[in-house]
Amino acid sequence: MAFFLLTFMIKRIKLKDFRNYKHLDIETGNPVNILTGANGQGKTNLLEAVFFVSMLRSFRTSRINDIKNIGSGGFYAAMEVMTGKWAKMLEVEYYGGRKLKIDNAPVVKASEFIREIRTVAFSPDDATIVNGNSSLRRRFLDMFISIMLPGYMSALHVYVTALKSRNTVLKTHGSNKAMLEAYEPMLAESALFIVKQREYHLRLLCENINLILKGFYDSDTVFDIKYKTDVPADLPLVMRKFSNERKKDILRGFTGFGPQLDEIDFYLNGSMMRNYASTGQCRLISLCLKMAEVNILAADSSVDPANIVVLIDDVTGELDEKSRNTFFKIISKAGQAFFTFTEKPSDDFFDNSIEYKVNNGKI
Amino acid sequence: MSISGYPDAVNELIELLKGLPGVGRRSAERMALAMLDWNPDKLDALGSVLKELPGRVGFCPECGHLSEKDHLCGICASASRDHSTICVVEDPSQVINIEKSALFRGVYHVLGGKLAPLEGKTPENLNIEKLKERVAGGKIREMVLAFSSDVEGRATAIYLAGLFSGSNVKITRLASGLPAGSNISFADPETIAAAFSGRTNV
Ligand SMILES: [Zn+2]
Repeated sequence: MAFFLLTFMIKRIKLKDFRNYKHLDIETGNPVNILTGANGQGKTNLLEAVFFVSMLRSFRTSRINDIKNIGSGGFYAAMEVMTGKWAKMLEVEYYGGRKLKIDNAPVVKASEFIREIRTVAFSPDDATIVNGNSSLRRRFLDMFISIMLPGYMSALHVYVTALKSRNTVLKTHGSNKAMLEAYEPMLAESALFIVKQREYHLRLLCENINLILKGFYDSDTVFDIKYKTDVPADLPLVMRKFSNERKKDILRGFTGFGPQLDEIDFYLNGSMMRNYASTGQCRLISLCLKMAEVNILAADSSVDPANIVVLIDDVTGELDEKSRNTFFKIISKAGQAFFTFTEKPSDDFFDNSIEYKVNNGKI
Repeated sequence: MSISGYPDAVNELIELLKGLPGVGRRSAERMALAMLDWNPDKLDALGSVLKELPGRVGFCPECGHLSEKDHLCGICASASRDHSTICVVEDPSQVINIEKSALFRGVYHVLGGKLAPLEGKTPENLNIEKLKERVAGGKIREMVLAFSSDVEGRATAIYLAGLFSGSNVKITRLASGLPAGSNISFADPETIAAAFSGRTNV
């Protein structure tokens, strides 16, 4: 099996003080790349760097401070990527504050920066998306929708800033109705947008996961996603809820409803996965979730498949041959893939890959 | 001085320059070294301008814009301006920038910031009482809210619109010519002109 696309995304990766990479500058001129080496040498760190430059987030931590090399004041990560006909240099610098640059020109808005590459990361920790609490599924979903729809990230940002502001006002100026009201139209508008997008994309994911499961099992395994929100259906209703709840909000010191409390639950054959599924089932569904992400991105007309990059951190090991083939078939829709292994596997899929040996922060 | 570093006076200068917005350690060093090349007269002139700054510059008692100490600003003092139309902005740099477009003939009110409870900016530490006073004076007919379209700017506009909704003042905001999240301080004159000519009711 081969990647069908002639162009691919990432040509070069440069790192400074990123996890255990003091300095790294490598060319990655191949569709399929394999990082091999013993555990703890920095294979996952390199995937994390690729993800970080694409999404400005880590798939492993929400604490930026975890990422910098111990003892350094910050970190730098850059990639040369092909978008269309030209190569572009994307640079992220975190020394004190965040600085973003595309071809040396500063970029202020994150949503503009993350438009360049669509990255999907497969990680062994993904099972927690299935069996953890709703906040992990919201986080996954928000990242997925942000890749599909860069405007979603801006809406989230508006929502979160306005929510924090209103909550602060509830605590410090609870009696100032005008101040509370100053945030409500923005909150209502962005909450409605967020909820609508979450509903839509969960439906897409759910349909797609069922298709993938059919390919795995041929049996009647049914997957379902239940989404619960307390955000009313339209703008006047949301505004009314704000005024009805204001007194209670003042008493508790925070806003009592909104997409930050949305519940998302996964069901396999009718039972709630976070309570009843086995570890194996959770791993499988999390893998399907990420595969569905690749499928949906590749089918989206606004996305050039060459711009899709998949990062696969040690998740294929426990799949049987049939499932492995389904997996490789789906990720072949991407323009480029980075795998981590302790040693290169024998699947035909890797015949034309390039291997990078990772050893203690060096390649 | 330390054996390998700059002399103390240079270090002190670097430390002071570093406190300016957008100036990092390296640019502060470059500036300090450039100043060492200046002739003594020029350094003296810089020194006295800095020294006189707090004594010479103040805030306009009417609108809060920068002015010669204890005097109305040029705009408030001018009889040719329309004193019934008041444009409310965040800080003095926006007044300067809107003036460059030369399209607005009214007067201003500088709030000295935006509503930002997360940074401790609440109505009490914004120049809002004086604005209430000016409105109560009865001469204001239109208030133009010219804030950026980020969360803080929008919240400030909604707050002020609510505050004066009971008055006879017509409250408008700039047309959507300004791109989302943009700041009036950095908009070009054409964009500002377009935003002013298409202002809408709040
Ligand atoms: Zn004045």
